Amino acid sequence: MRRSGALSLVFIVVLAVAWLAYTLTLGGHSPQLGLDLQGGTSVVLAPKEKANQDQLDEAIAIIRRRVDGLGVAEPEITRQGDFIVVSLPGVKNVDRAIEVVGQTAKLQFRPYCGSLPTHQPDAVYDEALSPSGQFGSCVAPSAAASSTPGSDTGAPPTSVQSSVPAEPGAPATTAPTTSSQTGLGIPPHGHLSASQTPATDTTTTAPPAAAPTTTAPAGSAPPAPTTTAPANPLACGAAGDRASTTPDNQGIIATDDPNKDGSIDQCDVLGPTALSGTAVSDAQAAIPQGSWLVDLTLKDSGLQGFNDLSSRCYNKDATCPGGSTAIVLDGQVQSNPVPQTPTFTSNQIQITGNFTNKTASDLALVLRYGSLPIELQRQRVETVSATLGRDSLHAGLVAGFVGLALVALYMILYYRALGIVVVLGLSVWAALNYCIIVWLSGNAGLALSLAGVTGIVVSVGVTTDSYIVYFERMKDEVKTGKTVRAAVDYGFKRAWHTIVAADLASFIGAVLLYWLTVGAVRGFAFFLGLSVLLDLFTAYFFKRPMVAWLVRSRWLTDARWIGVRAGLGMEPVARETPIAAPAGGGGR
Amino acid sequence: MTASDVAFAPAQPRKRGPLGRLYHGETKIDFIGRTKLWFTLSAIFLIIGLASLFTRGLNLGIDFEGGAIFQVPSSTMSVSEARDVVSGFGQGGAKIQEVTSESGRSISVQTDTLDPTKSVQLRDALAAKANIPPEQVNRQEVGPSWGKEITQKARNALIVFLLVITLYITIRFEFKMAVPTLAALVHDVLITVGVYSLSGLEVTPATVVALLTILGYSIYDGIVVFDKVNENTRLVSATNGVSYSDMVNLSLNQTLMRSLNTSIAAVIPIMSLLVIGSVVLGAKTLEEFGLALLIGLISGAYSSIFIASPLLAIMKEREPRNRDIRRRIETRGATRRAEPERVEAATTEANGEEVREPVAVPAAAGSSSRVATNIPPRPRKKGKRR
Repeated sequence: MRRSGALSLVFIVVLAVAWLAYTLTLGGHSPQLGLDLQGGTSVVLAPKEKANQDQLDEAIAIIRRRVDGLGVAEPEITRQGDFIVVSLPGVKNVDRAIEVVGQTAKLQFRPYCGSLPTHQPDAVYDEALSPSGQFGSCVAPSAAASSTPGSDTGAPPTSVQSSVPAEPGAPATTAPTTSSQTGLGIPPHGHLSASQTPATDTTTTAPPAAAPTTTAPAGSAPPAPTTTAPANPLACGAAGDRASTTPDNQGIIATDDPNKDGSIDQCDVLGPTALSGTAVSDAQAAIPQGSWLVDLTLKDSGLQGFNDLSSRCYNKDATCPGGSTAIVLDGQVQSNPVPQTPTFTSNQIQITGNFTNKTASDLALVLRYGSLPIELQRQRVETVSATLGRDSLHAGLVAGFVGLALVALYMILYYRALGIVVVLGLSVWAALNYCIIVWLSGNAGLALSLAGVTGIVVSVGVTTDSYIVYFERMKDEVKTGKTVRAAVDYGFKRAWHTIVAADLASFIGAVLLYWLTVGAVRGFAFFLGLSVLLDLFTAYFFKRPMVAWLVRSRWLTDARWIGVRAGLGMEPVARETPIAAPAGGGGR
Repeated sequence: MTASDVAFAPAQPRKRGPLGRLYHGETKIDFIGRTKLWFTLSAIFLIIGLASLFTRGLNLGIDFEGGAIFQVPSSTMSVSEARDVVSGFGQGGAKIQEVTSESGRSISVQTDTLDPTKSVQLRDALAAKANIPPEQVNRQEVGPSWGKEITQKARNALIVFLLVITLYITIRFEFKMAVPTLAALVHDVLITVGVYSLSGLEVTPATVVALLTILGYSIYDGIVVFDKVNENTRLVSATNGVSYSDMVNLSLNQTLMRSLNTSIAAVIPIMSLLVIGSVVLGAKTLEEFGLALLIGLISGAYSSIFIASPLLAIMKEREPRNRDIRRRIETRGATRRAEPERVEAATTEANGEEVREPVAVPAAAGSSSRVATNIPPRPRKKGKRR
């Protein structure tokens, strides 16, 4: 028992010191600060109508992509209940950021015209979109509703082939990549086929454009796959940046699937929207014959528009010279499958290709999201200047330390030598708390907010209380005549019961608050809960062994003014046999 | 040693002053006996608070009402200059204040909800007037539905919280302990809300955070007292001459120093937050947290002693067993008053066994040794009872 006590004491002190040393030297030094302490802009968005988890997650992925595009350092985008909280520390153009973040992301089916290399002057992209440009006839604004059948069917496919890189899917052959930042899997470019006719599917086993070959795009500059640029919309110039907001009846330049490192290989030129994502009824990933595919179900009303697009692309007419349909979400091409038949008779459609479970599921998710895009409403915008943030942090820190020092002083005055245990215990508690916060902020994107600081300051009270409960119990024990040493263990057993009961109540409260609320309350609850858990930990592994160790020193126990006995309200030791002296019994 | 203890106590009364008795957990304050007084006091406070709440309402911040706040750091811009700018945007009724903080003076402008473009324009106009770049303006903008949402969320959280805590206390102790805890909670929240209504202080999300913390504290305080009550329960018997109320009173006196110390330890950091953080360094957000916490904490310490425990005693005294014990004690009252020492000895004897076996049982009813020393004062107290 004594031995295990000493062990746990050594263990926890070494842990605290070592971890603190590591944190301060190598492990990140300081926690990431919330916007109210650091300065920056936070935007809270909420869907106008009730949205499900998948939709919200997809919306977050889209926002993250947009924010990355703005080049914001360390953005934090989290879902809190139905709210999406976007924190943008140190963003340059705040107004633009706020605007961009809240836009509704749309899913579109567009004809694929061809591709252009990245990082060209804006003029190159603008030229491509101009009526006289390379893709003029493809991107020409659609005059009528998208349901009108393609009228320019006369264009000979051969001529188109010559002017256009033959292989739209070429760069994507690298892998079914996943953009690491967005969590959005980018599936390989696949085929579209009518799902209820698997037999005919086999007859088209060799779809001309589908084979993901490594053919370099002909007739244009290499798409510079070596570029290290991030998946920045500006990789495709201002036109790419505008893609998500361009009206549906105009052609766009969209960014292609980003690679794993976030770079993109090419910019895709797309025609006007032929069918909006709201025509999608459902989409599911499936694996009917050993390979993953996506089962796409259209609404009956959407079938005509879909057939119009697929027939144009199947025929590679002038409005779809690329021969494939692009599924575009928020100005980014998600997939561009090649239709295997000009007209689909059923609204059950299969997208096949080199899918993995993940990429198929991701594409299905994108399609489902597109069927019911979330319209986000701005709920709250807050911009805190860096100075104000610094002031608050400084004030909070100073107040926290002064508070801690005063509590320590009070405890020492009241409990004498036992007060030292409180001071040391609070130090260990504070060190561990700090390390955990730094660790979490490095690994789980946790930011310390002002409410969090308050939660910690408040938990100083809770932590101190567990010492008070213990010492008051010890006081009770010595009053019944126990020796100080005996009281250490008996008192702890009782106190532990109370501490667990009370801490558990606080912890339950913290968990519920974290789970059920948003914003500041949440930050507060997190740090309160963390501190309470740490309190239990230090109470068990530090407090008792420390007190037990302390009372082994006769001097610390018996000293007239500072000793443990004085702290417990026992009579000063008169003779040489302090341990045997009757406790708390006689008068003064 | 028990014997010597009992022998000494009457013969040589302790000469401790009130503070000494408090320190040694030997106070004999009759909390339970004056239940009516405490309840009346609280009722008065609650009625004043509620009356104010219904007539004056609360001064809700923009997070609840919707609106925009611009904080423009400037050492030169006057309030009237700011008003001129704001009036140009049709916001003549804006609240404009001068705020001083650690890093200097600034002007705070609070307007109704603005549409996004106007909000940006107003910010730029204010920045231009103050001759600073627009990025230095702190802007906070809240849509009208946000307040509803967070209020609703906080309310839901509160309801679930109360249910779970009730369940927890019922499992850990008993249902009859959950009810007084909840009553104390409601008491604390109403008092705090009342103070906010009376003082007209602004209610912000930080206030809500503080309010929820108070709930935590209130429960925490209550649990520590009830844990002791639970432990002392087996003292309740006619032979001992201890009714349930007496036992609760005893438990309260025993934990009084703990309650005080805990409250002091909790109040110190919060006072530091308020005085140093907010007054000296001028961080207004800290003030928002600190004030509600302070009020709630004091109310929480009060309610765990003066509301929750008496209520528990009242509820438990209705149980047939406890009622019976009480009746028997009362009929014997005269005898006991005549010779307190005898009863005292009996009380101690009844607990003598446990003294010799210094219980390691952590569980609820596991009463112990300490009881023995704490019992002696009891009969005397009962004797002096008014």
